[in-house]
Amino acid sequence: MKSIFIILLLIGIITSIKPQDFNNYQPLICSGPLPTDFTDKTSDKAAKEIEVNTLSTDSHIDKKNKESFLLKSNYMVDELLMSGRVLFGDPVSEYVNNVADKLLENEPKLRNELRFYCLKSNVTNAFCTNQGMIFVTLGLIAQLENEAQLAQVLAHEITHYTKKHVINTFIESSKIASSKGNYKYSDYDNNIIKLSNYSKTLEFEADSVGFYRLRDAGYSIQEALSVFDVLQFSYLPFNEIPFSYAYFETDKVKIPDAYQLDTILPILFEDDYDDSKSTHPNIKKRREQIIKLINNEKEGGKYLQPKDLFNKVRTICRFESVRLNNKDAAYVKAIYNGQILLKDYPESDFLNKNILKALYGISKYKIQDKYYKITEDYDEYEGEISAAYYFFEGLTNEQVASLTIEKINEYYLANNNDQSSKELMKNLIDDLVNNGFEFKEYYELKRIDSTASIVTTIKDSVIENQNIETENNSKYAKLRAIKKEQENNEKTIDSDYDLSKLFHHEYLYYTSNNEEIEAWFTNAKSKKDEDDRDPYEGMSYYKKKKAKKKALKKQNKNIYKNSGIKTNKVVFVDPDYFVVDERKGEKLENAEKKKYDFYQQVDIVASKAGIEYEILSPKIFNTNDANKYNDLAKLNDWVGEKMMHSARKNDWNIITSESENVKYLKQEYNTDTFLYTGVLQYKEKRKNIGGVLTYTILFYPLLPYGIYYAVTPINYTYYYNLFYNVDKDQKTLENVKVLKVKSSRGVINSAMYDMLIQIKK
Amino acid sequence: MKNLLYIFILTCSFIHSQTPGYLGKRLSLEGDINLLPNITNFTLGNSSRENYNKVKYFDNIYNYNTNTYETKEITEYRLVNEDVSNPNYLRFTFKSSLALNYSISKKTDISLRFNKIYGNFMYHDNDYQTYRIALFFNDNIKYQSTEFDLNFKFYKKSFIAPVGKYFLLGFGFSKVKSKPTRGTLMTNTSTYNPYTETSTIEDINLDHSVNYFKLNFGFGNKTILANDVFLIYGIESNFYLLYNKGIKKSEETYITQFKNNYNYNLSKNLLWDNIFCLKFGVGIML
Repeated sequence: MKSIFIILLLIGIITSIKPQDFNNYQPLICSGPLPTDFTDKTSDKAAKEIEVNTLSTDSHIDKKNKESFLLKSNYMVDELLMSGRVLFGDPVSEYVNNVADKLLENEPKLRNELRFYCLKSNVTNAFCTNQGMIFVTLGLIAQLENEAQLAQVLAHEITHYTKKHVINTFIESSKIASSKGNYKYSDYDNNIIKLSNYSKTLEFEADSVGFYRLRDAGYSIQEALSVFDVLQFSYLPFNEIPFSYAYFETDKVKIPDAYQLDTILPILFEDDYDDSKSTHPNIKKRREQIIKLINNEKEGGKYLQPKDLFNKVRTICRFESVRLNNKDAAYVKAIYNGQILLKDYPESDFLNKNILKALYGISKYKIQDKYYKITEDYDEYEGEISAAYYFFEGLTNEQVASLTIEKINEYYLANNNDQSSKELMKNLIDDLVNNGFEFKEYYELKRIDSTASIVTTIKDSVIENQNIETENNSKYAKLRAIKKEQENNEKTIDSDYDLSKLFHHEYLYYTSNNEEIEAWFTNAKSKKDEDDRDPYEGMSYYKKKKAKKKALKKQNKNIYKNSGIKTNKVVFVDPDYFVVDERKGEKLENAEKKKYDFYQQVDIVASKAGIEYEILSPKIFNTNDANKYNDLAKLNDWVGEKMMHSARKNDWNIITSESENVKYLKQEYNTDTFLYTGVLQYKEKRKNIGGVLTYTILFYPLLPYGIYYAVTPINYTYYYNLFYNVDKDQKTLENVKVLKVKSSRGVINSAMYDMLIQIKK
Repeated sequence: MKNLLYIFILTCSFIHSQTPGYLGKRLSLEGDINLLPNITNFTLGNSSRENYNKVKYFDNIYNYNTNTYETKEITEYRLVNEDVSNPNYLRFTFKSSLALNYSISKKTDISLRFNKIYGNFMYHDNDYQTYRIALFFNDNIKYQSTEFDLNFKFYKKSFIAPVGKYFLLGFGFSKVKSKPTRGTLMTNTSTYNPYTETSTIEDINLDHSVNYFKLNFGFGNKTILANDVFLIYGIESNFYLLYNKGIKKSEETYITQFKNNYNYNLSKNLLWDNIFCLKFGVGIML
């Protein structure tokens, strides 16, 4: 019976780690019951923690500092939890929790106190909060070599919790702020160095205590050392392979040599950097400490769970990494990381699509001359990825756009006229046409420019080079080899390249779908002509000015009505409330109370306006609402990406990489209108109180006004509404109502009702 | 009043609100208490730097009917040319009002308002230099004003009627009545000859009623207290169009002249009472 169970278990594991799973990869989502960390009221959690952490022996100032810190940290952590970036119940989080179980097998009480979550971020990081939550980023797991390294990271963070490092560091920094204790007679710079030393001592402690916890759990203690390689090279992609130019080539068009970087920029192996003002010791010092600890200690295993399970989890993180690269507009990284993964999963629709999205992103930024906003110069990067940056830096706007259209077109034709890729192409063509390019130009260029000069050598092909990553050829094994090589050879970098050889026209000329593409160009041209037409043509200057003013006035009068939003249902996405006092800072507890009131206001106003509504906020979710939390997370990712693009260029019609992930919400919520709304109440101190009081004392009948002026601050209320259409991938309206009054219930109700009644179908 | 009502109803019927008022409720009823502080002292009537002393004495008056001298008590009001140390004082009049508001657009309310003012003032006429007479009232004169206003409230840019900060503009009619008042009329004692003239001291009653047209200006704020109840506060000024009730010169007598002056003073008093008005009130959405 037992052996049957083991066989079944093994079959289960093997099935679950089949590589073809990744060919239909779907982004990570949360599952299972929603943890109470997400749903509990923040003020309640803060109150509990204050009770536990403040001691009767604490001085009054210490108590106050602790209270302030615990309150702020609870709200900050809750903000993170509510953002949708935190994962639970997914395979990666489950795995991390399993590793934590192994580490804390003999400390059940501590295990119960701690909660381990994964964070959807490409930053290589892990951190612990005073509340007992340990967060590990997917970016970190994507970079790891084995389970033991993850265990060391967790063990390190667990020590931070058990030794109360977080709150102690805060108290220490409070002492600096108030120049107390050791900081009393030092200047600011010295104080920072002292605080840095204090923090480094805690880090050393976390490393060493973590090391023993790793050893006791039975993990390989050597990995406590190798994990520093992960930290040191976390800025590099998760593997070092040559950038594949062949990916962009067709039978007839090859990438000229001039666009290829001759010599890859070297990787700097610097681990003994100046850490005097850093919170963490440099890698060298940390390595040295672990080396001392390793002596005579018993060696354990790299894996306490199946190795394939780790590989699967890491691959998931790497897939997520590509998606997150696109979301963060790190398009070149997305392409490079995608190419690494394509070696093992060439059929993966997820990867192919994400590479196309990244190409689209580069093209959009290039056409709008904003490429410099998403990347540094290629020589700022190290290793193989520098070739990718060099390549895209060298391409002209039209070249990269035509290359992108061709690649998307390939996918479009191969996937039964996939609609999303069609939208990407059409959108790009619109941009090209708006910037003065026409389809015909490509033909003309073709005739003038001979293809004879184009070099047809194919460098390397990732498809040909397929080999599953092993520990011997992992990123870090390669880096160690490169380091040796570098020590022997000094290489020079040739940064000259030739831009004279145009090849962009080739793509569109040879494409098998040029008729349809030409039609899109024609449509884009007529649309442009239509848009360029002056609606006030023929009018005199005065009449034109008057007509424009009138049109603007009309538009501003009923801004919601004129936005074209017409719906029977609105989804309020995590409505927020901020209360800020210029003198006292952010009033977190008050804001939370008002936030819950705001939810009730939404209920009252929406029912009065006769419009259906739903609120997506973890604070009102039930434990079974994991799906809603996933919806919120996807929306936040999508909106976050849209906002990032808007910050770089206003009124930009760019298709977000996340747009596909939110389209289903239209069916799920029976509406395409999602509203990010909230209130900021800001209290501002009046200026020149002394002057006004002096004047009113001199003209004493005005003294009551002077007193009124001095004691009453100015209140501002900002009621903001950002409407998003998930179906059209659009921000349909952004409106901020500014009121010079305190945010009373009536004013907000009025404004909300006015908004809802205007958008009601 | 009827005209005002017609205007109100017609305006409400024809102007369709682009966005209904607070949570869809356009109609609201509000009751206000208005505090009318007045720091001007009108007790001295037209001139402000003169005062009178009441002097009583006995004198022998010749009676022509009986050809005898009779001892009579004479009451004289003697002008005292002394400065009045502090003629101004702060007093408060109260006005209550009830208004029916209707939001005719997102930024505009139309309001039909009924006001009642109960006030008082002190008055005497000392224009004896010209007419050699003086009129004195020993008590405060009480008056009451019944008013009907038609006001428009224009809400500030970022607010939506009927909640938020507003500017008020309107007009109205006022019917002022002062209570029958007993006064004393006498000739100027400095030229009075008790041996040749009959007694000129007499008591008169002034029963007064007059209509005014008025203009209203103001600004204020309405905030929601709970559900459909709101709080109003603000400042308002009412301007009464002053006039002297026209009496032909030929018909002019001492008494009509006094009455004219009385009217004028009442109007002025009313104007100054209403020039600055602090408004507090509560309202309910209907």
